[in-house]
Amino acid sequence: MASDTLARLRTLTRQGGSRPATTAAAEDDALARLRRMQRVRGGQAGNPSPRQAPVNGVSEETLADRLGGTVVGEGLIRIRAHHALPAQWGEARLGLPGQPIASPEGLVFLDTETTGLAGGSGTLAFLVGLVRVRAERLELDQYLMTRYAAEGALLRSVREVLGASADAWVTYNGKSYDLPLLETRSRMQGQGAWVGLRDHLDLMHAVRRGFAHRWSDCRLVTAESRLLGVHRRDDLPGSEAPEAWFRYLRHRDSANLERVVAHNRQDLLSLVGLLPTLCDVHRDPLRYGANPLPIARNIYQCAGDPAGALALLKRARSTLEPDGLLELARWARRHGELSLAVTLWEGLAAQGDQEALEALAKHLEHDRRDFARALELARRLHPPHRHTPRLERLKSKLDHQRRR
Amino acid sequence: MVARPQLINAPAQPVDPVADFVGALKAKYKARVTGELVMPAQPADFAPLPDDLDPRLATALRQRGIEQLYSHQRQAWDEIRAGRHAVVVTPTASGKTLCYNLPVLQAVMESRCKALYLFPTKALAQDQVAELNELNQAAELGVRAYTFDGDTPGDARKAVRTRGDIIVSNPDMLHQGILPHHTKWAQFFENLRYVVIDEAHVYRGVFGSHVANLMRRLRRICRFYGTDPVFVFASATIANPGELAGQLIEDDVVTIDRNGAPRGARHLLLWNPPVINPDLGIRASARSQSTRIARSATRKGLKNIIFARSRLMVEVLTKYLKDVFDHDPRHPPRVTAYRGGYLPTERRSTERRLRRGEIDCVIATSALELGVDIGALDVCVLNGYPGTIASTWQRIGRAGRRQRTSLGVLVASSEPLDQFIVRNPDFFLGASPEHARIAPDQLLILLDHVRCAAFELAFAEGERFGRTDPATLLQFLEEEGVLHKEGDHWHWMEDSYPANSVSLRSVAEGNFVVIDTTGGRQDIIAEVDFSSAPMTIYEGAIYMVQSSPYQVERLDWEGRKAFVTRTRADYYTDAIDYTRLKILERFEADQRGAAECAQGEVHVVRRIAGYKKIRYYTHENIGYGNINLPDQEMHTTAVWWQLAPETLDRAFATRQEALDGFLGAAYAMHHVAALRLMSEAQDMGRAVGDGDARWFATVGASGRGRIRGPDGEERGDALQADRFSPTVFLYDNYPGGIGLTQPLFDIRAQVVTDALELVNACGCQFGCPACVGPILASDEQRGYSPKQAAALALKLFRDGQ
Repeated sequence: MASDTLARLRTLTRQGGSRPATTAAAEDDALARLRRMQRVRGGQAGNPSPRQAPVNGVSEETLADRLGGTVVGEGLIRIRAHHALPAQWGEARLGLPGQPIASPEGLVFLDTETTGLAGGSGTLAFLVGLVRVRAERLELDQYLMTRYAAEGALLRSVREVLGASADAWVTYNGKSYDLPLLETRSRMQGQGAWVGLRDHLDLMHAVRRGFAHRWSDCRLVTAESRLLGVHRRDDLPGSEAPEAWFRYLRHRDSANLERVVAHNRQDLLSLVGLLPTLCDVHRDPLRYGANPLPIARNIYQCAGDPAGALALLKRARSTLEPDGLLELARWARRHGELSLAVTLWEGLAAQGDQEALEALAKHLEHDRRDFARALELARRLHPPHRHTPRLERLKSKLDHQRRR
Repeated sequence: MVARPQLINAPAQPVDPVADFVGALKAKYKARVTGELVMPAQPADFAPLPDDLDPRLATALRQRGIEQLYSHQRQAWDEIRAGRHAVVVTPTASGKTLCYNLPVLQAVMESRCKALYLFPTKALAQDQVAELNELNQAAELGVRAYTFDGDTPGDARKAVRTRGDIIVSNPDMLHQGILPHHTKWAQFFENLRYVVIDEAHVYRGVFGSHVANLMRRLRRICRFYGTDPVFVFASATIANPGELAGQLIEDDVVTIDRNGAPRGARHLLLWNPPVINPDLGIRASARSQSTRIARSATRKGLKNIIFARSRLMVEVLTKYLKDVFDHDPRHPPRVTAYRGGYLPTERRSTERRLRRGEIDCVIATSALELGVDIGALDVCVLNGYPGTIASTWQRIGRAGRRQRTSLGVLVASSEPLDQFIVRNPDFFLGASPEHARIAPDQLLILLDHVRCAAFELAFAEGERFGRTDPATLLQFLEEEGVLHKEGDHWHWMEDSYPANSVSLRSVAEGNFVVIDTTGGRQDIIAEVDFSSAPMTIYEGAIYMVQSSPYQVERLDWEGRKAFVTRTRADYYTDAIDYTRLKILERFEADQRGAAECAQGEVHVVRRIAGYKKIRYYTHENIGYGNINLPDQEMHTTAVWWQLAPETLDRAFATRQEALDGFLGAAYAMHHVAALRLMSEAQDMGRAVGDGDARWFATVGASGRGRIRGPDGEERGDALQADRFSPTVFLYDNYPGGIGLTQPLFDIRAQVVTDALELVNACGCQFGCPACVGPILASDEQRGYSPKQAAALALKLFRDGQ
């Protein structure tokens, strides 16, 4: 590279305005100089020997064969497979609170494998997997690019296969990850905005509602193992996907890339399996050991179904923590079940719960006009100085009542 | 700021307290004032509002009392509306912001286009949004201006991106938060018409070189979205604003520098502290003079500001002035400090109190040099020459907003540059401000930004990056495995986010937070940037915040935390650092007899070895402490001077004398070189050593040169070696070099001649801080004069014999 590169570096350094060119630097080998400076800087040393010549490289065609797919365009492989619908599918009423599912044929299960988790416009999805329900079967399509140049075609293929019937995304963390990424890539490829569907069921949110503090984490592998009994063998962790793809591009070494495709397929199948299960979890959280309170709140707010939410918490009453009992009491009072609310407050107040004490004191003062008991409860509120007006008011009301 | 022209008709004050104060100072301290400049008041030059100005904008202006524009504001309107890049260079408080706000607001109202404003700091950005909102509300313009910076909450970012007409941000955010996510900003970029870059003079040196590359990236992204925005710059006075702006965007830029705003009369005094020991050439400290002037100004009811050159000096001066004015805790404080490192909330509160006139005296670092609005001040005292002429005028410009007479006093310290300036008032008063230099093609900086740009959009074969051809660098990145060449494009191939590992400001690697743990607390009281951490928050250091001393108990270098407790120490601490160099590569050399001057690449290792404890008021040295910190290494360029060992042994009576001569010569040459190159002294480092990092020389506690080995141990034996070849190094203080050494090598003869002249012309006997560096009283007994030794070394460098 020496002399040619040098000449270019000389031009490079001389072009920048009035500063005299560092002729000195040009005496040196520019790249060697860069490497030395990089070392001293203690930084970003590169990957070892990235430029090795491919040894017995796996061609695109061979790779497609091994994956059971076909080359559908330059650098683009499509792997299509069909699976039976999962067993729970038939009996399940599909839909999450506030997110009814019009028809299973409109669902698009989506999962991508990307070149990094850092985000930003330099990260792309090299593998996009989709599942659709077609003729009572699952149709699974994976689009894998084996060259950067195929990205435009990959995105177009995905758009085309979606068709007009697509109605709702089903993803795992796709709201903040996969779809924004596809949006970025679509713009980078000059294809404008990415496909917008009517609804998006992000199953990670559903899992978090039920199990956020009950499981160690809410990753997809945890959810599938807990809820579906799926245990992966020889799974390539998602974090190694970027390197697997880079390795194929550099060396045509496809070993790990094939594992990425398998990993993505399992992700998609777990996604399909989780949907009916999670719908069921939202109907009957106790059966799955899920936390009923966030689910009830979701039913109350997102589905706009206070009666359903109230019924759920009533069923779950014996398992509720104080925050759940307080919420139940609040809803009960709001929806005309005052006696239930009072019972709940009495129970909590006996344990010194401040919010219950206050609610009960208010109830006794305003609904029952039992100022003596209200005052007694209000005296247990902390810190006392913040409740002075209430105490003063109750005292005077009590005096007044007694004088009459 | 929008200027308020109605003020020009205000009647002249019958008594001018500032003029009185100047008279009194001159009468009392005649001998200390070595130069004076009076700039008369200047009337306003108006131009009518443009005919095509939107009536709503005209209404908004009238509501603020503006019926016509200053001439420079009108010129800016005409140029910018014609689609030409422009730079506005007029003094503080001349209505600079209106120069760009008017055309931008008009364009947004006409066509709903977008504008990006960049300020060097978040505080300035916030001021600007407040200003825009005020105009906007005055006449319901319907223009939405938002800040977008590190403080913008995550849930508000989307709204800012999609709804903002004017986005006010900073270069760092553009670099790390906007460009790498440009697709999220697609709408914004598709409609981007104006980019406004205020305080453009700040973008020089390393920072400027980064920003020039950032502009290459910005314009590259704009091209992708089919836009080509007009750039508008505003700058304080420097020698070459048009050239700087032109270099930042690699395009032609019209310079608008005829100020139409009125100005009050302005006095400038050059002040040299009195000599208190004529033999040693020791003068009273600048500190004593600055506090004296600030004390009398404060007593006379004149609002004043002192600029100090270091954060440490800010704290020391604040303590001395608070001791005088703020000893009664029942009264609100009249004296306050302002510097980088204080928490933003504290700085904002100080700014507010300054604007309301609640503070009589503020002591600040360059942090207040920028356009932060602090209201009207009467007197500005510079405690020491700020290092550049441009910076001197910017700081002095802090006094005398609006129509009042103002006074600036430049108090010289004992350093050579300061002394040169007060002794040659004509040089300073007649000199043009410095050129702002940038080196956007500095290899490492360029590489950083080519890397970031490649992440943002794949490079195509033959594509240029600004004016440069990035092919070599792309090839390098490909070899590093960062990029992958496929067809005629280089694609990003790494699981990383490159902008996060590139800092525009320096090589800073994360700020340190200072945590007060007194009495079990855990309060963050300050932040310290990476580069100054080793010198300020080592274990044992006294760290001051608003002149309250804290002692550093523990420094967590990895975690970037310093744990401190309150203390009542009656001393402060000052770190001692050593530098050693190794020559890696000699590019060019010039042999003149026995003297050789060369330039090339060097490896620099800086070690902070220990610290001194210095008692308040007496400034005596009351102890030392050790510091254990990782060495700081860098690879940079340098110019060095050597003498043939035989010549050296012949010319000097002893090698110790030669060593002292080299140290003195290095001191003088460093300062002269900074002046000649119009750069700041800290842009360059100096060292004396053997060039092989086997030994280096420092001035020891005795005032004599000491030779130390790589680990700081004494190496007196080096003086007995067969060949003794000390070397004077002046090196570029930025990794990779920012382009100072080539011009330095070109003027190598001038530097030696000037330094020799400086030493010979100095009035001291044996050497002093104004020529060869401080020497001790006992030096009279050393049998030779360090000053003569330095002169001899310089003469040998000059003549080669």
